[in-house]
Amino acid sequence: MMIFGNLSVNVQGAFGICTLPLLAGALFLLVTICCTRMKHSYTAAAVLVLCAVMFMLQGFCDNCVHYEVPENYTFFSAVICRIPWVAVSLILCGIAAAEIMLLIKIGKAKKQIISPDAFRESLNAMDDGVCFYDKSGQPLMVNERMNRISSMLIGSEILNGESFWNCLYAGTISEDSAVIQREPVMMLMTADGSVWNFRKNELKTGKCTVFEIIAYDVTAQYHLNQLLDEKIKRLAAVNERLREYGTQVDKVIREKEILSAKIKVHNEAGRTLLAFRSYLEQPKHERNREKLLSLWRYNLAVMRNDTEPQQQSNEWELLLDAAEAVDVEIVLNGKLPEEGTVRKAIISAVHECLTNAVKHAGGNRLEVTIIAESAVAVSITNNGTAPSDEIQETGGLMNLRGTVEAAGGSMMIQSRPHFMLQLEFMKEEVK
Amino acid sequence: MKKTRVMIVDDQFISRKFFEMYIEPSDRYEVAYSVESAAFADTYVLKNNIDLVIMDILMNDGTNGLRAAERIKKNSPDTRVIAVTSMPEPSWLGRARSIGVDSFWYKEASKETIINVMDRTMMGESVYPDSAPETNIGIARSSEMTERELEVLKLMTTGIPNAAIAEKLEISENTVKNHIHNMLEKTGCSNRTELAIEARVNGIAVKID
Repeated sequence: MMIFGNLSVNVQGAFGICTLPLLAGALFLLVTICCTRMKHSYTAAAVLVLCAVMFMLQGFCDNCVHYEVPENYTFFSAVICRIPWVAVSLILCGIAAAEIMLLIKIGKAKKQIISPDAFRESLNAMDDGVCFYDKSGQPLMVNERMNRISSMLIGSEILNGESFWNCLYAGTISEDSAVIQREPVMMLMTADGSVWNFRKNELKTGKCTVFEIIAYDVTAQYHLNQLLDEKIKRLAAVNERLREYGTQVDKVIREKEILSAKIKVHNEAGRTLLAFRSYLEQPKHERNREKLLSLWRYNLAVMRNDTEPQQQSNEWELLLDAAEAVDVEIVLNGKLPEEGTVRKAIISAVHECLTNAVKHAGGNRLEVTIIAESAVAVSITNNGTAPSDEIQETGGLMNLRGTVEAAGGSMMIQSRPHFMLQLEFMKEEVK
Repeated sequence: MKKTRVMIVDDQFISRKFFEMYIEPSDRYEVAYSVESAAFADTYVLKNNIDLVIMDILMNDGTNGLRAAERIKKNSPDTRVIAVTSMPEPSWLGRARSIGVDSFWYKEASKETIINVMDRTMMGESVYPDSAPETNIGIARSSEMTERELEVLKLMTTGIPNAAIAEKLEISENTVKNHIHNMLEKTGCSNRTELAIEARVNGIAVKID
């Protein structure tokens, strides 16, 4: 086979011309691979391809220059001239194939690699504001949204990330903006009515620390929360009015009941008058005088009582009446609180002791002692038979304990040598 | 013939006198006690051989006639109790029955007189109306409300929020809202306040404890 050196100079020149596009391609590939920051293996491959192209081209050029003086061949031309021209063609084809493969690899890699421009473009398209800055506060990347927010809040774009954050926290912002809250998340309102949540994070990238500030648009949620708060307040007011109504309406309903009873009395009086008329219309021997008289006595008694309404007794008086009805005397040493939950609890306790004294002890006297000093101490005893066993807290006593403890007091039951119930309430609970 | 000893428990003077006037002319009954509060009514039956108690349910002083009836039946099971009221609150019928109240009488709505109910009760009968009297709530009749709706309505009239109603009845808050919504539609009331007022005035949702 003919070696490359034996080819005519024109043919050798043609080979050289064909190598020029390969050189341009190799250079392009190397620069592109470096710019897209692909793997080092691809960079090495591009360099290798470039070196191969350079070697071949140098060889071709030297060959053309020293064509008629082989003794002056350089290393490059000497190597190329001695190999068959087919081998040279194959080498050039191989280089071209390698370049095409690298080009395909670069095309695939570009689809997966985000370039800085693409990154910036995507950040600027975000609805939220983003700012990255280093330890000294120097901004590394600030998107357009964040710069606009910064302009509305502090009157300028972000020049120092840390200063910007400090201004937000301190509330050193424009007059038409407002700090809504600082904790747990910083929330500010800008002049255009938008509400933003600001969060600051520290990102450690291995070699250095980067800070990020993100601003989330929470305008819609903020306004919905405001509406919800207003509705809750309105509902609380409605509930309060209902409670108030509830305390009043019982009186109204009871008045209705009283009126109804009075109407009945009136009707009875009317019936009695009709009975009297019938009585007068009847023949004398058929008249039932006694029945008529009983009706009149009935109506007169009702009307008489109706003109002297009785005042409602208080609870203690009612309890004393009940005790008297079962032949038990209640002796009070000390003073019962005027009103309040403690008074009710004490009266409940006396009632319970009265029931137990009658049912179990057979007593006819209950002694209630109330001492009000730093605390209110109550003791209740009876003159009946002492309990044979330790008293178990069931039923009424259990309910009583609940009542006493709900009033802020404590209860103790003594079974030996005689029954005693002791209660204690903090003085401030007594009203 | 030994007369039946009756204790009347009613916080209203007129009502007590009314019952007394019905009972006193009778040769079968005598008024042993006429008391104005249910608070200590159970004490009276410990002695005094009270045979029958006429117990009003709704008391002005906050005491609860049904609770007092329960205590009386516990302390003195042989004493008969007739619960009386003018309120058409439906839940009281069931509650009275579960406590063991012997009979139930609606002061205004019952066709039977109290004396008839007393006679039947003393003969061992348990006299209960089939249902609470019907009344109006807005454009609806009280019988159109379900039991659960009435429970929600009763709590709502006390002014507690929906979340508290849901907790007390062990249902979800959404279920409470649905019940209230249904009642508003049935009654034609425009809001819960109006519904609560209608219910209370008509004696439907009366909370006694």
